[in-house]
Amino acid sequence: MSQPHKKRAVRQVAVLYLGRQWAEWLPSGESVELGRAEVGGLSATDLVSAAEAACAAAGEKPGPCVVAWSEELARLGTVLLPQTGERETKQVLQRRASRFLEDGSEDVFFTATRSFASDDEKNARPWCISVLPRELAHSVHMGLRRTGFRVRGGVSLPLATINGMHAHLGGGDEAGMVISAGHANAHVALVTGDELVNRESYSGTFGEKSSLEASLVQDVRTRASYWKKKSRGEDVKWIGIVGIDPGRAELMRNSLSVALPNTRVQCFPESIEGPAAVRRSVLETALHSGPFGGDLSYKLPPRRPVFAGFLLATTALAAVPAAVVHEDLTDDLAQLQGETRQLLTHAAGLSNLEAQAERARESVEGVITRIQRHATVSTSGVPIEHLMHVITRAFLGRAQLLTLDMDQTPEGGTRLVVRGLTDPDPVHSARATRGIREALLADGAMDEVTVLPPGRIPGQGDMANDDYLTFTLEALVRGAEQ
Amino acid sequence: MKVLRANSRGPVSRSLLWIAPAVAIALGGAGVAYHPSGSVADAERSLADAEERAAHFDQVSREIQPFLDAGGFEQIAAAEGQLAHLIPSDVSEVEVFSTVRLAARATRIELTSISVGGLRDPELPTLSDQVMLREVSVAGRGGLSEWMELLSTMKGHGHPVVVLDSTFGRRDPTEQVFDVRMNLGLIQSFPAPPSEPSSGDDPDESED
Repeated sequence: MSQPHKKRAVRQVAVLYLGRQWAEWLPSGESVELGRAEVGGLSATDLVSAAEAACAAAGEKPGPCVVAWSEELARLGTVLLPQTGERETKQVLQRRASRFLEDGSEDVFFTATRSFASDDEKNARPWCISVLPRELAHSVHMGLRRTGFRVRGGVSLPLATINGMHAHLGGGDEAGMVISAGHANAHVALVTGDELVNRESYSGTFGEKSSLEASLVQDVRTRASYWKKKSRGEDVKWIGIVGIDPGRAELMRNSLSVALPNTRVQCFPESIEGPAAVRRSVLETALHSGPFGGDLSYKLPPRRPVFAGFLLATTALAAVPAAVVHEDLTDDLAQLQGETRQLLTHAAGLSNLEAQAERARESVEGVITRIQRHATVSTSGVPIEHLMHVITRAFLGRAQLLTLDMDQTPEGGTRLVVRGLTDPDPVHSARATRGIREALLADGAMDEVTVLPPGRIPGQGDMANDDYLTFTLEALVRGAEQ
Repeated sequence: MKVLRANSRGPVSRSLLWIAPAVAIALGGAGVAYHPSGSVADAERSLADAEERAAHFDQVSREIQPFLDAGGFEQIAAAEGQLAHLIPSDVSEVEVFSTVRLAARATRIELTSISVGGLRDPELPTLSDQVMLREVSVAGRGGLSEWMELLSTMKGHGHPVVVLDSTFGRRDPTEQVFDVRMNLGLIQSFPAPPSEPSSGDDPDESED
């Protein structure tokens, strides 16, 4: 919207107006051209064709734009709803919205803005709702995309004018009013702060015999009174007039200034620039975002090539690192497997080697056992050679050996029982037996050596044996393992 | 200000339209990359096992190789043969009888009786063979040194013998000859008896 600023604002995108009678194209930038084309019918195809024609009339090609829907297409209404949760509110609004459509279509596309409620109306809040048949919204947006338009947003033009005026004149919680006019109707809206209090549409156009102007002025005065009563004495602080011929708008401004002396009244555009400028000032309000009315742009699914390209790019982005990682891991895996194979090949004969080691150990143990067994059995029994040698040496020169018994004891030793003959002289016999005993004990293997006295005194009885004294010697010899 | 919209899709679902396939593809890529990582972990464990096995192989090889290079098995077999040769096997009672007589003849001992008895188990470890003592009772007359020579002669003829008990006696101390009774144990080897089957199969139970 260019006015009331001295310098004309630069429009970021174009505005495409779609109405039942006309389609208009307001180019982006500072262009003052306004393309307009008549809409041939009520179908989406007719609207799209008219949009193309309007664009061509402005000397441009389809491009980025904001779609401004007329009230004939995007119907406006107010729904009074009790305070409920958002989900329930949305479901009720969905049902109520279809009532505003002429064809009664239940599949609707809408935006709803919660409106002002006084203290005594808090239990049931009014909602201002903009409704389009979903099929129409979908078809028009598909057609626009197909023909090269890139829709950046969508608004209801009557609500957009309120946004525009509020952006320029409103402030804080002040109440204000907007008077706007379109091709076939006019609107009056009362707002406070960023909430819509109420609004009204009037069909018709301004003309010499039209009473529309008087109706609007009267409506404004009525609403101002209503607001003063509702707000306990507060005045409407500002009134914005847009879309009305400047001369007529000035007359209205004067009338309203007289009727509402505490209200600031401003017209857009202020200067007389012709009808195109008037319409341009209305359409430019579509570029203002504001609290009155939500986005009416229908979000189409992504274009197939775009979506396919996105998937392709995502796949590539995911596949490249995955492939690199996969390849790295595969290389690592192959290297590990190669090293493992090499080591296993190296250790292939382990079982055989272990079997050989076990056999060698058993063989050595077998030989050792065999040697020990041979030594044990060879040294078992009575060590007769050794004992015979010890005994004959002990008896040599001392006594005569008569009998010799050698038996093994259970402990592995040997028990000796020796009978001998010595000189009958007591001195000689004692010396002899003591010498024999000491000689036997000198052998380390003898543990006990006992000499028993003779049972007969020499010279008594058997004279034949008087030449000898018999004695018995008993000894215990330790075994090899003892 | 509160605004509600009934659009074709909400911002979340519209975002998901783009995010979901991207996440799915990213997860797929991660899966492709992750797949071999599990195998790599397995391969690393296999490699560790293989390294341990190779190290064990080297250790066993270091221990056994000198033994094998020196012909350890052949040497052990030769030693076992020589040891086995020290103890006669498969000796008949007649052979025992003759051996004692031959030894007595060589030492001029006058034998009065030879009696070949049963086997006595000295309870020694059983290897491939079993060592037993063949009891032989010998009686006769002879000098002390001749009896010792008898034992040496028998050993010299390859019949190791131990004395189990003996009795020497003479009536006239002026005589050099003793009446002797000697119980000998001839060391002999026999094949090891077959190992008994493991217990647990109770015939009574099996009959049931």
